[in-house]
Amino acid sequence: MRRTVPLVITFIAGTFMIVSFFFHEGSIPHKLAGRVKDWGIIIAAFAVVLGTGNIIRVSLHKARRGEDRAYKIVLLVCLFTTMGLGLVLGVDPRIHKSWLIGTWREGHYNPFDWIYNQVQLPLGATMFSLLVFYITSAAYRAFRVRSLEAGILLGTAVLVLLGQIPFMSYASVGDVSMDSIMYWIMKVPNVAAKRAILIGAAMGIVSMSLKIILGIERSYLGGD
Amino acid sequence: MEWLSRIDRRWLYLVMAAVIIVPFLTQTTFKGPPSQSAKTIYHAIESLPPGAVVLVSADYDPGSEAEIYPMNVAIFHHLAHKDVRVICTQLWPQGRPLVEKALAKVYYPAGKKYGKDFVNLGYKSGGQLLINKMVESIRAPFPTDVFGTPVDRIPAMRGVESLKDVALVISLSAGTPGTKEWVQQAQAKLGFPLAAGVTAVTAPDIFPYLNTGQLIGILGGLRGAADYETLVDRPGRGVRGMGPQSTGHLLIVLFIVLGNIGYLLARRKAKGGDG
Amino acid sequence: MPSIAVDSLSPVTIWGYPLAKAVMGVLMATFFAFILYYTLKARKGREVYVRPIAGLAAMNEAVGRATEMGRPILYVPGIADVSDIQTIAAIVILGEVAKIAASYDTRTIVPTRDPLVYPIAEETVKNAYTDAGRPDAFRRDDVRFLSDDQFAFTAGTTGIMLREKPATNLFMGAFWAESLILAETGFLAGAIQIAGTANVSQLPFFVAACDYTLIGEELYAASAYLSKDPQLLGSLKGSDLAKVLFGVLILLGVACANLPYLNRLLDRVFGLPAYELLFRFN
Repeated sequence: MRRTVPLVITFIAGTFMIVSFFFHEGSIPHKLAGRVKDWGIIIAAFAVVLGTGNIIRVSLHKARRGEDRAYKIVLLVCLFTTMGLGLVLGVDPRIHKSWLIGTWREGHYNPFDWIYNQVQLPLGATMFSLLVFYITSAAYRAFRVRSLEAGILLGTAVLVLLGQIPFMSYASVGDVSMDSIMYWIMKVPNVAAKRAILIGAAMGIVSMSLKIILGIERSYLGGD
Repeated sequence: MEWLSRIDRRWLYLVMAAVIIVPFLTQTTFKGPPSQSAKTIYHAIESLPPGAVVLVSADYDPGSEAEIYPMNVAIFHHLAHKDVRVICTQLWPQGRPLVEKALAKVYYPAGKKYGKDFVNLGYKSGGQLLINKMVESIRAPFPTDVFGTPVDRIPAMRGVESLKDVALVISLSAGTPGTKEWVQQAQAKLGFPLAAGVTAVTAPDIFPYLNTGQLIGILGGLRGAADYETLVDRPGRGVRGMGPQSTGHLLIVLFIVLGNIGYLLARRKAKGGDG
Repeated sequence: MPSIAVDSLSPVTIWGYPLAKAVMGVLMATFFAFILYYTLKARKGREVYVRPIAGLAAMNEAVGRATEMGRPILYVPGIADVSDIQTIAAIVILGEVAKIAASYDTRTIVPTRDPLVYPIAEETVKNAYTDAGRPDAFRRDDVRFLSDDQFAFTAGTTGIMLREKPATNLFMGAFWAESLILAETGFLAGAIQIAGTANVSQLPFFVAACDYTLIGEELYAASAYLSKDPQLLGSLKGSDLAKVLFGVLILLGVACANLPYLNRLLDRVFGLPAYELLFRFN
């Protein structure tokens, strides 16, 4: 019973979604499928409560046990402060208005907007920019001419990297400019390889979906 | 010399940080001709008739702000210079403050008026479903702008019922939902000109659509932003970033070459030892 | 089912029905038929050969290593939401991996980015530990929701790598810009790493920083491979044969689309255009 009910729901919902795809846009099954997708969005919104509950529970447990206590306290304080400010003050529409009508001045934020602009924004950019260091060490370590294929890969990577540098656009190999070499690499071999992987992956998706809908793949439901 | 293939990563990081920070502080930059793709987008905007409607979908977040915000600003400079109406939408919730800051930076100093020359319809969830709906109607998913003003009362929205009434769509995208969804859900149906500004890492993903002609051009990463800033003659963060980015790229190439010299020497030595 | 604007791909209709959709329906039915035929055949006991996939063959060894070192394994089921089929594939693989980990009495830490993926992952790991006869070894706190912000999640996960020092990191599912940050941090922490994704732009990063990488469809084949379930293996064979058929169709399509060029080429090589050559062979 524990597995049969989810399997039946999956079968009915999956089959309906596939069949609805073959109806004309605007038809009732098509609209119904759209409604089902909306349910998904609404359910996902409620799941945030579950997720937040999990963060609080895990952090409290760990802080109580003394594991990474300082980190967990910082996390909980930040979580409740941001959530509290968001719930009480929300996003100040006047700030957004001042942006658009041109009366905004630097530092003119309410606390919740301030957290977004002055904390989350630079932190996000910082994490993203860490990539430069990781790309450096990964490229240095991985790009070795171990074989002919690795050599070709290396040569191509270097050409594309150099092609990103503005003044290299003036360089050329014979009559062919560096820019057009990079453009050709991106447009022809890159797209060819990508398409092959994408087509394979798309078939994997269809096959996986069918197995789940028919209940052949059920390991995610656990044992009986 | 084999040590060349075993340089401690912390040295790599240190040199990389220096190579990026120094040109950044000294404001060193490199200039080059804009790419063909950037020129195509530039000419598409340049050839828009007065009063044409351009939709800018700002689907990016703080993480990708460094690459996409400069191209957003450069494109707004170009659009503000032309006599066209701009409608902004966002598929990512965090895109709203970013696009509004870009509007504040460009549109107000250019003497443009909110509601008349440009409007922000804001963020709506739904991703590709939302784009799909906009093919039929923009007003159904966006009955009001971000301030709650009904779109019927916004002059910039006059005569704009659906994407069919839009002369050009510019997708500034950092992932999903983004440019790919704009192509699949709307461009494929209506065939309007679609330009893309994306992060460097996602640019290879959308190249197939350039081949099929579904995209008129791609601005990829900071280089794309620099190209557009050069075209509109408004050098900003993109052009300034070309110094650190170029030296960074050159350093990576240098590290790869050094690593390989060390590796090849070590291999030769090992072979010699075997023999 | 990804919704693609198929109606518009071809304005041509057949009895008032969009031709593109009709063709897609026929192809899908063919694909389904192949899969079902081989699944049923496998159910009757026919053995199916599957080519070895290095990344999956190493899965047992990777979990075993964590056990030997007395450290947990870290499993990241991508950062996409649950409507992405890659996430579902990742959850399916998680079930198999958690079973192996449970049988070795090793902890499985699962950080999630999507709040809806979190309860599903928790249930999957719990079931796996129960199936392996070790329900007591399951720790609720090991399946965690970190943040729905991409880089906050990345920071949280790399924090787990550095503080809890998992001996094995598995990255399965949809990844974007965080892929290299995760994989390189794991590499620096000395973990053995296996990744799998169908996000093509992230594959180079995983290949560079991980010990093994599952490319594209290998991710979807993983659960059949790990569970050795004859039905799943049969379905794999069915989809592979359908792929061969589609490959031929693509080649035919490309040939038809390039017929004028093909004619010119054959003319140059054999001195005759394609249709005359066909007649001659007949």
